[in-house]
Amino acid sequence: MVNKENLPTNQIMLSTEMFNEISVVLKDLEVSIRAELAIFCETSGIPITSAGNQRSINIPSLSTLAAANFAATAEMARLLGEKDGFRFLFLEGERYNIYLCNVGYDYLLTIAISKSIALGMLRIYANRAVKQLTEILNKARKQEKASERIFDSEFSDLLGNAFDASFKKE
Amino acid sequence: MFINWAQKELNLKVVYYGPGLSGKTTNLEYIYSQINPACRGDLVTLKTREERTLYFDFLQVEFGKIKGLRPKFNLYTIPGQIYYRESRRIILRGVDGVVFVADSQQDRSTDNLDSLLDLEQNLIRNGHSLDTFPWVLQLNKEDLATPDSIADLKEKLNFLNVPTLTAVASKGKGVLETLKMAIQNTVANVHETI
Repeated sequence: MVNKENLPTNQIMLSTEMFNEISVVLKDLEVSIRAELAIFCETSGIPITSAGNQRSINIPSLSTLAAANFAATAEMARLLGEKDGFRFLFLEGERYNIYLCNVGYDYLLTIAISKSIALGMLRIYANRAVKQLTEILNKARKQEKASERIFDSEFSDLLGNAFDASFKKE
Repeated sequence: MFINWAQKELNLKVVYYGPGLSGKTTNLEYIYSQINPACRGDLVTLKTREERTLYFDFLQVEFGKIKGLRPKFNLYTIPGQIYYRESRRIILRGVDGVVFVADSQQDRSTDNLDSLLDLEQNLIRNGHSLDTFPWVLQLNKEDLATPDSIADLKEKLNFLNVPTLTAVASKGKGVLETLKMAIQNTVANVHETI
């Protein structure tokens, strides 16, 4: 039997206002702990926004791999009988460490940070950001969904044309 | 599905499902090789030493701006081997559409059916079912099949009358047609459910 309450919400719509609020939280986090990169993504790895060094790093790829990594630990938790899963995942590197934690059921926060920052400090600031992000997302859920109707047959036709134009002619 | 109105982005997740060695990764590799580089991200693959998919392959493709939105399709493959069941379940989280890549060779008939059943079970765990979920069927390795095995596969796998295409992914035949069909099917479903 599927418990619908625990399922991810398959359709997520983020307003400009919410997006801006989330961006501010990420920027604050980045500045506070001098993070190399902070990414907020949904659980399958689609990045929503990020702060920090975004030029030299492929954010969608990193975000997808981080999400997969975290999802694997969730399954490990399930196999061990850890009811609420593991709270965070910490990867130690030579120059950077990576900290992954969930934000509710549908989102993840990934932080790449210099080794010089203590884990305790990182956890405090990450927890603070998670709390702020959760509040923003709870507010978003209470708001009405965007009413724009764009997915009509015209959208499908235009998408089909754009698809054809994106591939090499054989 | 994820819509970011601030950045005018529409993100949809399409998963290539099917038994091991049916050609899911080959589909993605062909798409990657043929699409305009400006329209794609990196092809991320996690493979074992034997070149089998360990966890998933991932490719993001996008098709310009349509009615003010930039549609991005996040394409994933699953590891087909039976023992990676948990991985498949995880990858299906948040899925918007599925391409089921069947191996048309006669001796893979049972593997195809087992994989389709596995897909159904995993969709149910995610709150969906094959009856109502947008999926398309690709009968891959058509060149290694007999006309009888193709007919037999259609009968066994396409009991829900979903869009079906034959393909030879290693040569690129039917790959882009399948992706286009899957994308349109997925968007049509979004239109109905939104």
